[in-house]
Amino acid sequence: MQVNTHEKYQELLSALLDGELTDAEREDALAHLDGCEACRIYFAELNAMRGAFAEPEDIPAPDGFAEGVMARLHEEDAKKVSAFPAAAKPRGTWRKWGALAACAAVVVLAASVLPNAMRMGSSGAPETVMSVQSIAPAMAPPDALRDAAAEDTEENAVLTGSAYNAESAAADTAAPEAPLTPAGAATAAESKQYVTSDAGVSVSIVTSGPEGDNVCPELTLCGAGAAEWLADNGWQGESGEWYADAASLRALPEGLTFDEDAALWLADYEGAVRVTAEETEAAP
Amino acid sequence: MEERELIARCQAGDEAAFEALVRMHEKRVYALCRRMCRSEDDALEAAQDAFLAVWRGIGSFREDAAFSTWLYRLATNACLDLLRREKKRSLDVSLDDEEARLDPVDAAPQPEEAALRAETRRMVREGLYALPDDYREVLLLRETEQLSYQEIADITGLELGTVKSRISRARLALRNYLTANGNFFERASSKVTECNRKEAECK
Repeated sequence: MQVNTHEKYQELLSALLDGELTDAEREDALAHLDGCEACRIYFAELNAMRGAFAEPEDIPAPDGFAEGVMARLHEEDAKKVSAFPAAAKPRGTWRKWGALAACAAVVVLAASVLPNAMRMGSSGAPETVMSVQSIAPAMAPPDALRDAAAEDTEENAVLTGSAYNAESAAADTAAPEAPLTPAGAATAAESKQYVTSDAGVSVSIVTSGPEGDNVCPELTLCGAGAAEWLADNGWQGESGEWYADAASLRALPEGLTFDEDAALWLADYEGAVRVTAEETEAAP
Repeated sequence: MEERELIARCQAGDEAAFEALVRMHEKRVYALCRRMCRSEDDALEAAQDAFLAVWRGIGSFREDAAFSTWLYRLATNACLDLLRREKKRSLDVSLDDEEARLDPVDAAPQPEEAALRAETRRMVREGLYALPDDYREVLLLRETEQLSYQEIADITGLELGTVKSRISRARLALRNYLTANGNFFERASSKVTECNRKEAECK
């Protein structure tokens, strides 16, 4: 589609709508509109959407709201409990699991239903497991998993059980399966960081839940514009998570990255990947 | 009583002054939370969280700073935090009930234009809920709260350029959603005229 050639103008038109362009930019945008039917249509669509946003005053505050706030304030004082669970915790937890999951070669990619009607063929599953196993560094002691699990009981339910199952499964299959070249394994063992570093790169490998929850491989996409790329090239699942096709992830524009070791399994994988976008300049 | 005075009293621990401050801003804060979070319960909790954050942080609030910017920031953060927590629990909310309460129920039959407007608003609201939280946040601040890019940058802590591109991407995503889900642009087309361009020239 010709959308790419108009990408620059989409942003200009959006800013034009808001009156946030310099004079020179406005000239440019208006001149372009003169000669471009597609952009005229797009600009009209932006206007149409603007017209359908509700007025700020439409929603009244509920009765007794202020009293409710004061009540909570006194409640908090009485209990001396913080009202704000650490916002960073969910993300931190995922990163930690990503590190330990990878270290323990815990990858169970169940051939279960994926969103958007993309399915992993049965031939796809063993291949993918193999390639990930080959990149997994030495197994972490089970204690490390237990300690991490104790910190977050929610993650516990989904990951710990299958972590142990997969560990033994991996031990069973690792020998006969003849993983990818020893060179590949050796490289992985030197290992890149699986935990999130200052560069903001991490890999989380999701295991299947005990009830066979819908799973697919997952990675974190980092860089300025990560969320935007995902919105343009991916789709959303029912719980609000985002997915992208492996092929599109192999063809990322400059500036967007994910862990190099994810690239190893991504190279052989076809189908949906669950993607979390991490804007590097966003406040944590 | 003037806001500055109330803030000063809050900083001295005056709870009555704080309650007055809450009343002064509750409508705006709650409305924003209601649009950011899908359910009434979530919106209420987030709005309360926002004001509790005000109380906790008022001691370090600089007098020369804009209170509304800070309040918006606390409100959007409270919503984003809550939404993150909610996603993990995947609450099963009866969405139809929540949605119905957003618009006042009009017993009398609406004239066609008003019905059309209500319908297109509902579609945009649905589309907003379908967007990633970060996109919804900037779109609401821009379109509903009608804040400038700089104000939005101050509230979110993002670079100005990022605000600009994120709003654009959010609009694109919303447009894609509306195109794929229903006939929003056909229904709204009566409002879309060639005056759009003239409008742009006048800005």
